[in-house]
Amino acid sequence: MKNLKTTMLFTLLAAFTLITACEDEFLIKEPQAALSGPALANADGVEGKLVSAYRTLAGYGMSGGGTWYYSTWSWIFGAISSDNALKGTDAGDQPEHSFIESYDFNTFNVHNRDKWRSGYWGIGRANDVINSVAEAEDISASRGAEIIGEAKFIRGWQHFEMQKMYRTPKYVGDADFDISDLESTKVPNTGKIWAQIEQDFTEAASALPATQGQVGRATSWAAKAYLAKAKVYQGDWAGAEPILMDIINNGPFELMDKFEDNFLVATRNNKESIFEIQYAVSSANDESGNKEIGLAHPYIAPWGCCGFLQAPQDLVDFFQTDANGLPLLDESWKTNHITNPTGANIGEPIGNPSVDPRLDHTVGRPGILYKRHHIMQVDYIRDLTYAGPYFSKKHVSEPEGFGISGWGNISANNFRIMRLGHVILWAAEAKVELGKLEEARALVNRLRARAANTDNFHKEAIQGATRPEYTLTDNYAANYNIGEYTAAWSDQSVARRAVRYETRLETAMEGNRFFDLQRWGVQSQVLNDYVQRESRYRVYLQGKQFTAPKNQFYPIPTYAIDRSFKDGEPTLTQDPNY
Amino acid sequence: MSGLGFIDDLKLRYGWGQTGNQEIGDYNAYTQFRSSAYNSGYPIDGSPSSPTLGYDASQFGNPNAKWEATTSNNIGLDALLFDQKLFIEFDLWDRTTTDLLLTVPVIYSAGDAGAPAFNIGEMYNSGFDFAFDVNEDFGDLNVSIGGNVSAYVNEIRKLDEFDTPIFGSNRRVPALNITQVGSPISSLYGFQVEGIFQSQAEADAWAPYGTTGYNAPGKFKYADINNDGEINDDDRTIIGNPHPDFVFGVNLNLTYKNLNLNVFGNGVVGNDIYNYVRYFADFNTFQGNRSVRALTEAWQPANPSAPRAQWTAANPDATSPIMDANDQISSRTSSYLIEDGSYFRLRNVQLTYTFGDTINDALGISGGNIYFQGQNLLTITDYSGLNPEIQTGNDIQLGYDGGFMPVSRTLLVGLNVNLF
Repeated sequence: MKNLKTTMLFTLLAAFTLITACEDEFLIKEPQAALSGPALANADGVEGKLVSAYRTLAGYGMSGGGTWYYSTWSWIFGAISSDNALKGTDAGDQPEHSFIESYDFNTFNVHNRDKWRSGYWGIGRANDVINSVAEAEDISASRGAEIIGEAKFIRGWQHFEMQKMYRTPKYVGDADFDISDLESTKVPNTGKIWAQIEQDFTEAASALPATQGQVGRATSWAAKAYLAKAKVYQGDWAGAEPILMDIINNGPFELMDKFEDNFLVATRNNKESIFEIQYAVSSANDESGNKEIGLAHPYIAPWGCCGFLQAPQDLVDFFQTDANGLPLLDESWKTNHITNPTGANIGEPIGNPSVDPRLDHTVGRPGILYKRHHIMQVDYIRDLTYAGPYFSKKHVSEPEGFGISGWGNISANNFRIMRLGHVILWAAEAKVELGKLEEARALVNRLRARAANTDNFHKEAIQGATRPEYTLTDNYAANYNIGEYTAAWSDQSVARRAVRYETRLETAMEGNRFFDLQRWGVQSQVLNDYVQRESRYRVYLQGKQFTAPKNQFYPIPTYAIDRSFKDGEPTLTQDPNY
Repeated sequence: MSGLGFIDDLKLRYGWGQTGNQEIGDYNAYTQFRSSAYNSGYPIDGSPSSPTLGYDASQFGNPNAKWEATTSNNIGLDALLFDQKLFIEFDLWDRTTTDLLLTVPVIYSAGDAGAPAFNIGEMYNSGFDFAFDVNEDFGDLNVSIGGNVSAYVNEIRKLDEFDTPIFGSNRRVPALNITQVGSPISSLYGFQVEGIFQSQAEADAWAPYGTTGYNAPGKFKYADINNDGEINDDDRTIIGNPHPDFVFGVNLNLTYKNLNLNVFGNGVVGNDIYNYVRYFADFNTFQGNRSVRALTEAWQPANPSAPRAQWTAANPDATSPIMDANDQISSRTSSYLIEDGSYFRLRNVQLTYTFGDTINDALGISGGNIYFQGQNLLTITDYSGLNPEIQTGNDIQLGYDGGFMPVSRTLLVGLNVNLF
């Protein structure tokens, strides 16, 4: 017995000596079954972090919340809050969207909260990439510089989103960001952040190659295009024009022959694309498809859900053309419907109106073939009396790209978020503002000539025995009539209106409209005029009021301010208009 | 001890204890990364079918966390009285948790990874538990009655350094639970409805709801909590407490010769429930069926063909707002959907007849019984949802009824036979 006690005593003593003799490192053990920071301090780890920074451009992928809250297509914050789109579906669906549509921008709107979150989510990842490059010894200096260039592109891109959304966003640079210090990014918002955005795109443009082996990566051209876009948004026309013309004249980009090729899965990453949001979908995985806009599909088979993102009467009427195929710059389109806004023949044409062929690539309207699925009819609509007979179209996949994953709506229809068509429009705008009206006319005519390609006009479709069946005739589906501006442009204000009209015709439903009106300073005038007219038919819009300067920007989410405290004070300051 | 002969046993107890807790999952100290299609996948190579998987932070680390400590006090009394016919147990307790391990709301610009636990919070609970059991024979009849009552109060005393409120998860409306200093955990949060506007004049006199033009006859009169003359987000307040005033249970056991009756029931009193099901049934959320309330309780004008400004109430006692297909404001989180969640439920009633020797011998068995059992025979409640007994399984999401399955009522008749 005594022997046993002695043995135990010595064992304990030995154990005690062993423990106390250890160094402090013994106490720090990186997780074995999980990916830790040190495990990623190499080329593979940093390249993987860069991929996940690109991921933030896809418009969903954060923990919590819906995949549709902060879409890169900006169909919520850029479209339904404008005269280009209605929320769609039915009145009670996604009330947070309805508040945005009706200019009731509340500070605790969850979708606005996640738009803010998503911007700084991407910015954080980009900053972590930049900070990680130095820790990876197996990255070459040249690739290291490129990685930083790509990360700065993403950082600039997300800050641009924030600057469009909020009057005074904050800028978070890599020096502000430390992934192991959760207090590190508590920097104040002090005003516009255009200078930092421009700097990011400028540095990205000089660090990046003109072409990339992997088509999803940003090139120097993409960075230049965004640099120019930032200048356009500031009205820095003299700064924007040479960059835009450099892209047009010296870049490897050409307009696609068919306007619709910018909106089909089959023609992803085409010669017109400067930067695309890449999507991938397979039967096993829809987590990288265009889920952010999955709700915005017609309410009948094969989609079946959910009827969001409809087009207003205003947009349809806007596409009417005069005898020369030109838009009605005298605004007479506002008083002349080309289709029935209501009544028994709702959505059907009134007579045989002359329209821009881009109408039927932008809006699904009754009687016209809808991306070869079937002839669009009002059965596409979830609640006809609520938001009318027209549907959105550009983001929807053609039949070959539909139904690949469990939720068939999700497709790999890339979002051509930066294409030559946009650059040409901004160049034309810059030319107008700089007084080079004829050069602007030539640029606009390039887009009009492409749109006039009869190979891309919709053909008349005859309904077959079952709903999806149809046959095409040799006739066009409508009286498509588009012409170039042949008369010289001599009046700057008329030229400005022509370019702004062209912008709407070319890019409607691509999520830009609210922000275009914002930078033109005409939101209040255009949107209140629109609401007043549209609410005659979409009565739920009655009484909605856009209030400037308040509604020019969205409020900084209360949740973000709540989480920004440092030394007892919030580091974020709310837009004083809220 | 003369005169105290009715006491068989008496015990006064006091206890103090301190316990640690580190149930916060693994690797709280380390920033961890993951690789997944949803969080970090992107087809960087232009593949239309499969994304390249990257790495993104899944969890932020906090190397400085330590155990949280819960200090408890309780004082208790156990008594066995009157020839062991009455048993009483009473406890008064409080529990203070310091260095409470909480996953704090992280600033959004840090990223989207999960928050680590920090030792920052302080929570206080106090309450009492009371139980009794009475047992008495009246000839062949044995009566046994037991019961228990418990109550607690909960208060968050400290969150993070800046007491940033923690919201529950949002539904189609923003989060309706708030955890903030000075209130019970997971309090219900939203607008306070003061009534319904009966006329345009009344609506015009009230603080306007932003620039929405919402105020009108038949619409909700939202309280201007901060008295700034406008209804806006800042007027949201605590509108309900999901914690009950007390919970209780009763157990009755009657035995007469071979016959035994056992009745057991329990209930809660004084808790609030946010009936989110009514969000869909009372308002025009989706096409579909509506509640009867939407038909019978909605405010209606007596003169609907007159201009709205001249409307008078057909039913001034209406409790629901006027039916309006395009009204998304009335369906915002408000006290309208808060209900009293008190209930009493008869969990179990069982009547058993145990066979006597005569039957056993006649049947050639050694023993047996026949019984009738009814479960959930009765629920007494004013709550209008399917089941007041809601369990969200989430401490910061209490009192949220997103549609819980009603309990089933079960009737059983049974026969037990022992052959040997």
